[in-house]
Amino acid sequence: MRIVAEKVWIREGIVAEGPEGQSLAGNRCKACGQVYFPKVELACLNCLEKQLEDVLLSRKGKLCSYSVVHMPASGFQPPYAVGFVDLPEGVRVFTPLEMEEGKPFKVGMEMEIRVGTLWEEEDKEVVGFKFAVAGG
Amino acid sequence: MREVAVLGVGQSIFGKFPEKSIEELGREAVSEAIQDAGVSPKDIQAAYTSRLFLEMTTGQIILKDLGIADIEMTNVENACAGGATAVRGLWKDIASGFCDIGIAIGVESMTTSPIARKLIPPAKDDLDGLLGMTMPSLFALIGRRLMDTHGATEEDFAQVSVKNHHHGALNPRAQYQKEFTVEEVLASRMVAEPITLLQCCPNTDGAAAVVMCSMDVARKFSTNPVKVVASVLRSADYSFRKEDLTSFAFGKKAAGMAYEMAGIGPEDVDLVELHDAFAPEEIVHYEDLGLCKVGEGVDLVRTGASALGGRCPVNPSGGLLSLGHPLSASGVRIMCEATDQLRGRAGKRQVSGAKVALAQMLGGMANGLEAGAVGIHILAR
Ligand SMILES: [Zn+2]
Repeated sequence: MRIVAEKVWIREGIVAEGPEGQSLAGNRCKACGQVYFPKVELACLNCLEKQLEDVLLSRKGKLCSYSVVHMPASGFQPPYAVGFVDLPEGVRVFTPLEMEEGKPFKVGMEMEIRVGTLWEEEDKEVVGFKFAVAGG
Repeated sequence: MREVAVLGVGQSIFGKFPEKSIEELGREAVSEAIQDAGVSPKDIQAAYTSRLFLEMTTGQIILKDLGIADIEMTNVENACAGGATAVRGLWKDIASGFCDIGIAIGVESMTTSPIARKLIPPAKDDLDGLLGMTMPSLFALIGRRLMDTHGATEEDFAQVSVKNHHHGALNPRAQYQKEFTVEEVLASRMVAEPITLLQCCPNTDGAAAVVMCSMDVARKFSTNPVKVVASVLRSADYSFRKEDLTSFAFGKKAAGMAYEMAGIGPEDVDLVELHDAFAPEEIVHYEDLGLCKVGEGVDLVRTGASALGGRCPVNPSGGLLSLGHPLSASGVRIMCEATDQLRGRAGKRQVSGAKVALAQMLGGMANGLEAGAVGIHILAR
C-alpha cells in the first residue's frame, strides 16, 4: 500500500484559480493602482490607502534574470534554478524556475507559471509555484 | 553641527579563529585604536558597538577589561551596515555636542555563529527565502542581468576578484594574502551561476574600532587630523519601486546625499572601500556611487581604473573578498582603511596622494525591500 503524502502549501493564499488556470494571487490599491504580490495586508505601502482589491496576476511574464544554483537552500537540492520574472502588472516575482532539457534560459524570454510540488519532505509534499519557459 | 575627526583606528587579525572570543577580538581592535589615537581609556565618553551574532551587551563585555565602564554604551545591529551604523551613531553624538570623544566598534565571530557551515532555514514569513532566495543567488541574478544589459562577462566578474585579491596580497591584515588568476577564479567551485566560490567573500572572524572626536579635541592631538566630511545612513526602499535590478536605488540616493554633505563630487574621490561580498556587486556600486556613468561600470574593471594605480582604486584593502567579511566589523574596518590611506600609512597598498576616501557598506535582505541598510562616510584630509 502506498502512503499518499500530505500536500502542504509553501504559504497559503499565494495562488488562486482563474479562467485560464491557476496563477499568483495579488492585490491592487484602488487609490494609486499599485499591484502587490504577495498581497499586502494592512494598507497600500505606496499611498497608505486601505481600499485594496484582489487581483489575479498574469500567468505569463518576461524573464528578468536567472541562475542555476549549486548549493542547497530552503528545501531545494542542487542543481536547481531561480529567477526574477516581470509580470505585465508591474510586479517582479522571485521564483524557482523549471529546468527542462533543450530549453536554456535567456533574459527576456517568455515564462509561464506552473503550480505543483516544489520538493518532498519525509511525509509531505511542499506545494508552490515555479515558472517554466512558455510554450511547452 | 560640529566638525568630527577620526583620531585613531585599530583592527584585530582577520581570519578563522573559532578559539578566539568576541572579547579577545574586540580588545585587539580597541586597544590598537586607543593607542593610535593617543588617548587614555578614561577619555572615552561614549561607545557604539555593532554585532549580529549573538549574546547581549557586546560593547560592555569588550570594554570592561580595558578600563572603560560607567559611560553611555549602545549596541546596534544593521546587517552588513552594522559597523557603519555604529560609526554614524557616534558621529551624530559628537557632531551634535552630546560628547567630545568616543569609540565605534564592530565585531563578529562568524566561525562560532549559528550560520557557520550550515544553512539556517528561512523564517516562516520569508516567502522569498522559502522559494530559494539566498545572498549568493541574489547577486548571481544581478550578475546575470549585468551580462545582459551591460555586456559584462564572467571574466569581468572574475577580474573583480583577481583585483581585490591582488590588493589583499599587499595587506598584512588580509585573511587571504594570495593572488589568483582569472582562470583560477573561474575554475573554482560553482556556487550560483555565474558566481564561483572565489567570487564570494569568506566567513571571517574579526573586529575593528575607530576613535572619533570633535575637531577641537582632534587639534590637540594631531596637526593633520582626518575629517569626517559626510555621514549617511539609510534603510532600503520597497522593491516594488525598484525598476533596475543592476542598481540599488537607496544606495545611489545615499551616495548623492553624502556628496552633497561633503560638498564634493565622485570625481573628487581618491579611493573607495565598498561592500564586495560577491564580485558582480562591485560593478553595481561603481555606478551607484557615481564613479562612472551608468552602463560603464564594467569599463572600470577592464581598464584597471578601479585597481591600485588606477584613476580611483576600489577596495585597496583587499575588500571583503580577500580581506574577509566579519559582518558587523566591516563597516568600521573600512573607516580604518580610509584613515590609513589618508594618513599615508597603508604600506604597499598606499594610494599615492590620497586626500578623499569614501567608505560604503550596504547589506541585509528583507522580503519586499531591495536590501537592508546602507552606510556611507566620506573622509578627507
Ligand atoms: Zn496606493
